[in-house]
Order: sequence, then structure tokens, then C-alpha cells
Amino acid sequence: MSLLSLLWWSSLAFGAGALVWMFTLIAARLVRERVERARAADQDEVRSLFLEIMDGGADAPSRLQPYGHRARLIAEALMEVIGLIRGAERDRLIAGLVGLGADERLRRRLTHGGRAGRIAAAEALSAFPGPNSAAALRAALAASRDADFRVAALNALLDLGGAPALADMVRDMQRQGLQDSRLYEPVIRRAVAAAPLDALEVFVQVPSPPAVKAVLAEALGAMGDYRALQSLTRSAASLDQELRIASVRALGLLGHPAASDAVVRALADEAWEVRAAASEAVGRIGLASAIPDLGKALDDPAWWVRFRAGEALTMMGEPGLLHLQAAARSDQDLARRAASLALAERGLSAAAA
Amino acid sequence: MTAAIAQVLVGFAEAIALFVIGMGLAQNLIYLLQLLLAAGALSARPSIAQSGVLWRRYAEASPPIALLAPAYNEAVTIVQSVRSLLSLRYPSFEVIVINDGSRDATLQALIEAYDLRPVERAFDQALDHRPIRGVYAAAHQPRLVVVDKENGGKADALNAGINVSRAPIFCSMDADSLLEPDALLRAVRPFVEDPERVVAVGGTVRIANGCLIRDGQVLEVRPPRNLLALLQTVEYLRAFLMARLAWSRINTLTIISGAFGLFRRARVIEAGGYTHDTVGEDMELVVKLHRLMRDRGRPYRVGFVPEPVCWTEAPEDLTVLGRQRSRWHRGALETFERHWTVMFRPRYGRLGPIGFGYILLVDVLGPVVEMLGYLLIPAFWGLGLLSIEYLLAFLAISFTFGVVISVGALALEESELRRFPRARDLLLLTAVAVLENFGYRQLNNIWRLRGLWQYLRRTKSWGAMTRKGFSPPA
Repeated sequence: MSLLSLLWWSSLAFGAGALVWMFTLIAARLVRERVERARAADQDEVRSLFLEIMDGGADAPSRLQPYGHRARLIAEALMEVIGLIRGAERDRLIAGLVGLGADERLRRRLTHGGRAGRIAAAEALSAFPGPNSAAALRAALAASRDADFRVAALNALLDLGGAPALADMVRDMQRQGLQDSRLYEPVIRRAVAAAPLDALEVFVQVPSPPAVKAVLAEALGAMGDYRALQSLTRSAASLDQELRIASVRALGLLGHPAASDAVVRALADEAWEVRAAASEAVGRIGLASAIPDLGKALDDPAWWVRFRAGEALTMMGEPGLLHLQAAARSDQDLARRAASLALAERGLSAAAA
Repeated sequence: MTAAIAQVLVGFAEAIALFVIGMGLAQNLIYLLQLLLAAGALSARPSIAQSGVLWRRYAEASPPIALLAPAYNEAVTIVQSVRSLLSLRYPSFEVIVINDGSRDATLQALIEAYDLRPVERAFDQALDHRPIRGVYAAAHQPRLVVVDKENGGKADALNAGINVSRAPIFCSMDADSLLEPDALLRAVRPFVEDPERVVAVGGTVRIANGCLIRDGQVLEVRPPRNLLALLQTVEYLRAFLMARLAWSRINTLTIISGAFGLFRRARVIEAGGYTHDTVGEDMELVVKLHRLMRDRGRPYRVGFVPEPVCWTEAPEDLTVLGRQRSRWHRGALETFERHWTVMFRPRYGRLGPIGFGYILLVDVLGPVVEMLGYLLIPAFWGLGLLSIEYLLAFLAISFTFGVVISVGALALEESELRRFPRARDLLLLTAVAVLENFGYRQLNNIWRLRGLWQYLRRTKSWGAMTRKGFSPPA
């Protein structure tokens, strides 16, 4: 074949190919539009049947029967309402779905079919307490490497009270290479809230990357459990900067004055991020003894440290305010500006009373 | 002697012709590669359709975002734009409008609409910009901050916004862009899934012309009725859905549109913020981020998500569109000039040969080579060297290949996103993809050449971009 013929045949092939491709897309779109219209109609019907079940409609469960095998449809409709309903209505809905065998189908759907349906099934199973749901979720969790699915399954297990031990969760995160993902943070926080003592043990004893320990530290602080004080005080001196930041922040959240030494030491940390977290923590705890240190922090080279120090001083009542007003009149440029802005942002006067 | 000279000239002309054809083939191969990479990226990352699902899965883990909206003479649209920004569905965000020394009533419109008062706001002067005249806020609208500053251009305004913002992530956008309500939740996903490495994420920008828009929200997607806007619709699909998605898959994305992009504030400050004296400040920032992270030896990613949609008004006037395209081209050339050495340094990895090689091929050499091609045709014909059969065959294959690529971009849109609600819209866009080869591409080339000329003459101005605002279609 000559080059000329090749060019012409190629252009014909391209042109024909483009036309065929586009008509295929249009045909697929027409089919999909019909399917999506039907699906939208089914979703509306399922939602209204759910409402009837919640209202105690006797025949509603039987009318839901034709949709019973469509696990994803049921799961997504369930997730739209389950967070909004409580008490008898919720019980009726769940009982109706159990009677339909929907929970069993959701459990099967965990390991079959498309990704979106599996994730929806995992989320929806949180509404069906019992050992079967928890067992199915754990089995699916062990088999899946999909981060979104794993988070959905873990959340459901936490709802069902059947979550793996936090130590296992942490080890598993590292195995999957997911320790840096923020997707797991809410899960870790929930796990810590569910078993704070276990969390403390994991924090202290289970070897884990600093990123994971940092999440645990903040979660422990948010729990308000003073038993974490000693461990957080130790980790506030960690070699890892992120862990130091998280630990100092956690000490601030705990708000216990026993953390004062660790927090005041952190005000002199080499990393400005730690110094800023420490300034914030001083304000949260209300460490009056650290006011002079906060005053020095107003002159820090890092803006965020100055900002947090100013903020913290405004939280310290009259002594803090007096210190800010004095700084606002000082001859140190950075401190003067930081103090003035901290006062002005809160509509407070820079002039002495 | 004359015969020898003629022979040399003919040889020279043939060499140039081969170069032009070779460049054309190289460009087409790149488009094919982009299509395949983009298809791979989309199939590996199925979109999540419902925003309720997004909220359930990502809201708790999502970091705070500051939306930076520079505004210059936007009195007609600013209130509507800000209203739509304030109604975005995202757990923690603030909207910072930077009035860049507008000469119309932009600031006054905002003050009246939102009952703003002057406030004091502490901020870090990490980046340089023209002086700020005042900061405004309202007690009943804690998410809104308005910064009034002396005029300094878009880059300058964004730098001021970055300074004033406190969130770890900021979203740079145009004041007249409309974001879909869940755009931030979708765009922030890479930052949630890979917080250590991701430094910037771009999102898809779509043409709002022809859509049904009410109260700052796109209620119904329709293709534009204006032919020029239709042509741009197909172009945007190729540029965003195909090209940027492809380059982001191999971490060589060199541009995130100024109309919508998320950035890690600390890294941008480290990189020196937006550069002032260029019209391609959006591209320049992304390249600076690449260089910063590679120079520091830190693993990083510049991503692109196809789902979040920012809607923008496309010019429907040839003059305005021409100015825009010349300016974009000028910006690309300015960035290339500042950073071209990246191509030859192994430290920059794929960014050099692929990222910058693409810019060299398509942006720097492309318009010149295409023009050379058009000039060679009559020249060869005059010299009796032109084979009409080959010319027609070559044009046919270029044309049909271009249509295949455009259809490919539409196929990507159709397979994963399906934002055009009606099947006949696809037919219309396919017809437009064919039509764009007859005049529109050539016009674009002329505009790009004008951009090259402006670049060579060191023109700095943006030109006047007149806007109609987002009014409902008649």
C-alpha cells in the first residue's frame, strides 16, 4: 500500500471510528438515561415506602419486597434517613428491613459487585446490630485494601461495638500504608472515645509512626481523660516535631495545670509550630504563671507564635490584658504590633485603665 | 550554479516541511497519550455522585479552607458571587474577597449587601503586596472577610489574600466564577487522602454560558447557544478533562487554572507566593511549587480532580476572546522563559522533558510551526514542489485525528461525569468538534502568535475583559 493510500485509509478509519464512538456514546446515554430515570423513580418509591413503614403501614414491607434484592438501592436510601430518625420509627424501619432479609443481602454485598455498592453496604450495616453484621464487616475488612471501604467498615463496626482493637487498627493502617491518610483520623478519634484506656496503652506501648501517634495524642487530649496526662507530657518532649505539636495541643485540650512544666518548656521549642501550639495551650489551661513567658512570645520571630501568644493573653483575664496593654506601649516593634492587634481584634483598648 | 542553489533551497524547504510534519505528528501523539492517561486516571478513580455521601465520608477529616476571590471592577456580579460562595457545602471555610482597588462600586456593593464594618485583623506579612486600606467583616456573617487594597493586579491581590487567610489550605478563584456547592468537598480529597505530599490540586473549569443559573447556582447544565462559547466548551473539555488529568497522573501538571485551584498555604509562602510581573501567575506558581519541592528533595504531588466544577463565563465576542487567548499564551511563554532550564536538569525528573517539553512543543514552537506550515503550502505550490494529493491526505488525517481526540474528551466526560443532561448535547458538541477545525483553530493560532508578539514586546497589560454577568437565559 502506498503512503498516500495509507494516509487516506487512516483518515477514513479515524473519521469512521469517531462517528461510531460518538453514536455508541449517544446510544449508551439514551439507555443510561432510561436506567437512571427508572432508578430515580425506584429511589423515590423506596423512600416513600420507608416512610410508610416508619408510620406503621402494614403492607409497606410487602410492597418493598420487589426492591429487596437491590442492596445498593436499599443501602443508599437507608443512609439518607437513618441519621434522622430515632425510637419507635427507627425500630419499625429496621425490623421491616430485617424481615425482608435486607441485612443478609447487605452482608453479601460487602464482597460482591461494584465499589460504590460495597461501600454503601458497609455504611448501612451499622443500622443492623448483631454478631452476623460485625462478623461480615470484619471479614470484608480483612479482604479489602480500598481505603474508603475500610473506613466505612470500621465506622460501621464502631457503631456496632465490634471494632477491632485499636492496636490492631493501628498495625493494620501501617501494613496498608495508610498511616498518613486523614481519612482514618475520625475513625481513630471514635475508637479512642470508645476505649480511652486501650488507646492510652496503644499510645504508650504499640510501636507506630509519629503521624499515628500524633492523631492518638490529639484524640486523647480531646477525650479529657486525665490519665493521659503523664504520657502526653512525655511525648511533648519527643524528637518528632509533629508528635510534639500534637502532644502540646492535647495538653491544652486536657486543660490540666499539671501540664504546666511541659507546656512552658514547649514555649522555648526550636520549632515555631510547637511554640505556637504551646502558646495556645497556655491560654486554654489558663496558666497565670506563664504570662511573662507569653509576653516574651509576643516578640517571637514567627508570626503564628506572636498571634497565638496574643490570643492566649486575651484569655487570661485581667492579668493577661494588662500584660498586653503594656506590650502595646513597649518599644519592641514585633511585640507592640502583636499586642495591639490582639487587643484590637477583640475590640479591647490598648490604653491602660 | 543556479541549479545548485535551487537544489539547496529545495532541500532546505523539504527539511522544514519534514520538521513541520514531524511536529504535527509529535503533537498528535501527545494528545493520544493524554487521552490514554486521562482514561486511566478516571477509571482508577470513580467519581462519587452524591454530595450527601461525600459529606458523610469526608467532612470530619477535611481541613479548613480559605476561599480567595480577587475582585476588580466586579460591581455587577460580586454580591451574587459572594452569596454563592457563602452557601458552599463545606464544614469549615472562610471567604476572603480582595477588592483590588476597583474603580467602580465593588466595595460599596459588598458593604451594603452584607452590612460590613471595618475591623482589625492580625495577619502575617509573609508575601509582598500593595498596601491594604482596610479589612471589613460582619458579625452576622462570620465567614466573610473583605480586604480593600490598592490596585496591584491579580497576583498582588492573591498574595494579600494569602497573608490575611489563616486556614492551612486556600482556594484561589476568580470573583466571577461559580463553584458547585460541593466543589470544595470534592477538590479537598487529595489533601485528605495524602496530606503529607499533596501541595496543590486543580479542578475542572466549565463554561457557564447557556446554563440556567439562579442565585449564583447552576441549576441546569445546557450547552451555550453562542457558537464561540460552544467551541470553547469542547476546548475546555480537552484542556481540563483530558490534558490536565493526564499530566497530573504522572505528576507533571504545570498549570492549575486561576479560576479554581487549592493550594497548601505554607508551601505557597515558601515558594514566594504569586509572581507579580507576569500574566501567567497561575502557571508560574505551580512551576515554582514543583521546583521548590524538588529542590528540597521532598516527596510531593500536584493533583487534579475532574469532578469539582467551577463555572465561568466564556467570552462570546471574538475581540475579547482573542485578548484572553493572547494573554494566556503570553503567560505560558513568560513562565517558560523563567524556568526553561528545568528541561535539562535531571533533578526535576519528568517535569523537565515531559512537562516543559510539552510547553516547548505546543506553546512555544507550536504556533510558529503551524504558521510556517500555512506559509509553506503556497510557497511549495509556487515552486512546483507541492503534491496536492499528499497535502489533502495529510490535512484529512490531521483533521480526523483531531476529531477523534475531541470525541475522546467527550467520551471521558460521558463515561464518568455526564454533566450534560441530554443526549443531543453530545451530538451538538461532536458537530462543534468537527467545525472547530475550519477556522477556529486557525484563529486561535493567530491569537497565540499575537501573544508571542506581545511577549517579545514585553507587553504587560491584561486588556479589557468585558463581562455580561450570570443572567438567566431568555
